Amino acid sequence: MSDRMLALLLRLYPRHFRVRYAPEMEEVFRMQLEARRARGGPAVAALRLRTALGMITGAAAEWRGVAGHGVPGGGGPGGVQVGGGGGLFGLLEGVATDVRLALRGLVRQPVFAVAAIGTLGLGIGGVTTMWSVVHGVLLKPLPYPDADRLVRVFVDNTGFVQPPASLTFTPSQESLRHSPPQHLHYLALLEQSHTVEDAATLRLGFRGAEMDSGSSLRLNVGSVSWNLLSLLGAEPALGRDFLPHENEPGRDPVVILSHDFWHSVFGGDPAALGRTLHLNGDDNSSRERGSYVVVGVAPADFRFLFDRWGQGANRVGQYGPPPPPVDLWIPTEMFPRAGGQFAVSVIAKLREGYSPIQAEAEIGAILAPMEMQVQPGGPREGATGRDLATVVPLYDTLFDPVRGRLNLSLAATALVLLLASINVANLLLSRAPARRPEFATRAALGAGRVRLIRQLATEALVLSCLAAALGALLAGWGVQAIVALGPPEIPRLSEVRADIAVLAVCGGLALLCTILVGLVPALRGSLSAHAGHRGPAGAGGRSFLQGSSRGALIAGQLAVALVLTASAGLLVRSVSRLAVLDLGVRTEGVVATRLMLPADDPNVPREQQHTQWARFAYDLIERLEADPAVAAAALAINAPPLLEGARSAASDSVLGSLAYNAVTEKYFDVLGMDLLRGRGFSSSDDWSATHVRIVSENYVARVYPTQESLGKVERARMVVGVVRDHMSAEYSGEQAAVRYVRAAAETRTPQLYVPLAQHRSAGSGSPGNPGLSGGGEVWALMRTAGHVRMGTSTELYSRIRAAVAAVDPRAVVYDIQTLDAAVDRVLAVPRFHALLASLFGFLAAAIAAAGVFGVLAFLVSQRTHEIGVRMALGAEARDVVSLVVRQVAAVAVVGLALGVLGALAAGRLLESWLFEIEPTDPVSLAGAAALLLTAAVVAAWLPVRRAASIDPAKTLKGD
Amino acid sequence: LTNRDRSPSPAGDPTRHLPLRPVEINVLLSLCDGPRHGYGIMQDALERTGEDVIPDVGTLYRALRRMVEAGLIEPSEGGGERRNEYRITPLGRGVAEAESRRLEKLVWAARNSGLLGQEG
Repeated sequence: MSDRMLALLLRLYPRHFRVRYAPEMEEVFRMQLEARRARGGPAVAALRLRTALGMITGAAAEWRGVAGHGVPGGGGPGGVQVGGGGGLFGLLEGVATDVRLALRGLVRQPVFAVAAIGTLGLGIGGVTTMWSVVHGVLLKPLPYPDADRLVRVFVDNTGFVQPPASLTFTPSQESLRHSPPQHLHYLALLEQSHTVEDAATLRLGFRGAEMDSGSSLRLNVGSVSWNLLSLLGAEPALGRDFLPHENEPGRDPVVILSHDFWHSVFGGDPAALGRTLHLNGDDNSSRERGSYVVVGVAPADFRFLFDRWGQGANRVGQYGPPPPPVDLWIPTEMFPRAGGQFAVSVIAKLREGYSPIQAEAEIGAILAPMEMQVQPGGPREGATGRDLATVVPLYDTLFDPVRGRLNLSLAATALVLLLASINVANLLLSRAPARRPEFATRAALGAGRVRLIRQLATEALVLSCLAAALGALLAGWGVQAIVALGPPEIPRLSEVRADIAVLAVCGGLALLCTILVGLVPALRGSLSAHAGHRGPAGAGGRSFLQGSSRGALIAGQLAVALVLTASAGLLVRSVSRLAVLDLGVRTEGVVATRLMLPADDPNVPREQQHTQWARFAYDLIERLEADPAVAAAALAINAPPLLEGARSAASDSVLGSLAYNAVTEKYFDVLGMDLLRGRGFSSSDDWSATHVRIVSENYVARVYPTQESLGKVERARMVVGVVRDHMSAEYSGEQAAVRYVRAAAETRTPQLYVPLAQHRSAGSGSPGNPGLSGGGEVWALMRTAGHVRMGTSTELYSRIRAAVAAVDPRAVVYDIQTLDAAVDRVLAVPRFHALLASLFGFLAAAIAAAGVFGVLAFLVSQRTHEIGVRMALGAEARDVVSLVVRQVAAVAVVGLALGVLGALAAGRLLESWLFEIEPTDPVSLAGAAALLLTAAVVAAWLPVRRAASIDPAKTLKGD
Repeated sequence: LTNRDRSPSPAGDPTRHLPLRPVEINVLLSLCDGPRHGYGIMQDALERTGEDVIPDVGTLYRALRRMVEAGLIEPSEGGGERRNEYRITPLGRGVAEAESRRLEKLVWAARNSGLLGQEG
């Protein structure tokens, strides 16, 4: 893989040099980068900068060598002729002089230099950063052959009265439209569709593996159709791909290892082929436990870019971080009959010439008769065939959620660049009158117009190059910061590198802008070469800002800045609302972990298994609570609020869906859920006692709006308590998910709890047991005693692992985390937005203020004479200052008024990102306007104040 | 535009190649112990002289190009498709020795003039 920056710079070199050395140089540079990367961003940026400089100067020298030899093939002996003059070198020398002059000019006016280079550099750096991210994430094609023909196929369930019962929240129309298909659908599609060339299925799950060493591992498993790898253009690095018949039920179990897993567990040994892996059964595929023969190793670069629907049924409509990388690929058993079906992701490759819309119509017609068999809800009246399939380009499923957000950020940076350009234009224009005498003098001394224009163009070039260099540095850091801080939901973010081509384009734009603006004084200056050059232009104008484009430029700057700062205000306020959202649970000090239980021995009777399981649960709680850091511990069979994991739900004709969990006594204590009425669970609520349930507030409000709920008996369980509601499912921060949080906060799903010991297995009256189906999961929750500092609790974590191992060494502990961390992770996305927006807003305000300051400082320095006259005539310093400040304030108000219109428009674009904040939020608007007005007034006040404090006699004498 | 960018002469007299540039003497010193590829030379220079003076990849390869043309070093097989190794030629060894002697004299002179302090 070659580095883009180096590849680009190599193009500067003579061809024979490139052909001979480029591959080696790329390799060396790659290794250097790798060595540096460990030392962090600045080290890498420094290496890049040094290499870029060396490469550029080297290229010039190399070409000179070629010119000297006269033999492009190289190999000519003897010293190189240098300094040979010639037209080219003469010109170069002239340019060198101009560059020196320009640099000297910049050094002489440090305020101008810092303001111009700084603002332009910030703009270039910002746009390059965001554009590099957008390019790396959105614009690069997917890493699969014919990626534009790859689509995801979903079943459209909007036509059904009853949503699938497996959902714990009321599904949105969008998620119903993207329900996962089942193997039956896939097989029918493969057999009957003409628009689809080939299709594959995928389902993610996990399996426990018993290693030879006796330890257990939890492995992420992709259950796939035999052709997934070949459909995505991957050939095994070792061994063979799956065979077509390996999806048929009852075949010998085989497995393909991921490249990483092969390396970490088998040390990359080719002898891994033919070895066996002992996997536990799981309920995510119908495979029983057994020995799987390794037949192949997937290539190192093979990965499936998982989208928000990546995990199939239990994740429909939910947004979250991508699942962990797959360790093993195994062929799914596909049963050609209804029942025992699992939801899968279907990836199809369309035949050339067919569009997703055509495919959707055709596949819809194929699925229509089948839907009626497998969907208990039955079709809605008037449902058409087209309703029954949704076909979405694979690219869209991946990038739709992030596209809008990235494009908005890009737009924001473009505004910053615009602002920076306006600023520099403004600064240059302000400088123009002052330079007119200089140019007039030089013209009088015999400099031709071309010479003057060349000098000005060189100045612009030097300015732009310095700004571009600063921009490159900032972009290098910026990209690394975004990669490091960016939320994991953005696919491919970690692969993003700063894009040097973009940097060149931004630098070029800035150059164009500075040249155009820079030439104005040259043209004016040389045209009026013989006009009197004494006396700065514009003296005697009535107003500081009148009669020039400067007022308009200042107003424009403030308008643009207001759009950015007000947007930042909206996002910041939205995040602060999200952060204080009442979740219904107290998260601080809660540690949660998932446990994968060993598979039950099928020869042990069910009742006895249940006893074993209950003993495991209570032994574990006892051991956990023995830890001095743990105040209380509880177990639950489903994921607690805020965490991702399996949930089971019961559907109810009155309530639609409701969330169900079986928990131990202290569950409510641990999570800080207040018991409102009745009693909690106690250890006497075992299988032989009266079966009881605890319900949530919302449940009561919906089922018993007028009666007392306590004591009611439902399905042979008595309601004994009522607890507070909590947010029903985990919430994540994707764009749509903010909408989802809003919905979740408003409509809290009714919740229902039973004692762990009274949990019944689904569809039967017998005791339920998470270990029964094999590889079952439970959650352990702990409230820590106050003195444990969370976040640095690795010791506690290892004690938890030890406690579990002491109860049953076969149980696997994973995903230990604090609830606070889970909430933080969720808030990270909107927080990241807000941070980015604040950065842009701050940058914009700073650039605008710098612009006002720069322009005013310049104007004032030119009009110290006028100020002196006014004061000599009796004006107070205060009057002069307030006159100027009033004028600036008037211009600023006009600009801000325009900005408010822009900010309102921007607010509408941001609406879907906002939580409990209106896009027209007056606080954000007024706050941003006040901030900018203050900045403008202060920026104007400082230079005028200084001018007015000078003794008028001095200024007049100086004239 | 200075006199720095001249290629070393391929003629037999090592002293005709003197003085060498820092990058050139660094390359020769690295290759004295045996063939190396570009990154190896760079690592070697890093250990010898520290980070801030090692050449960037462009400077290094331009030096390698010049030195191959001047016959001080030659590419050798091995190291794989992308990794060409370089080995020192007898002439290169002679040049390295000559340059080292030149530098030694220089250091001696510096010492004599009291620049580095007197040594016993």
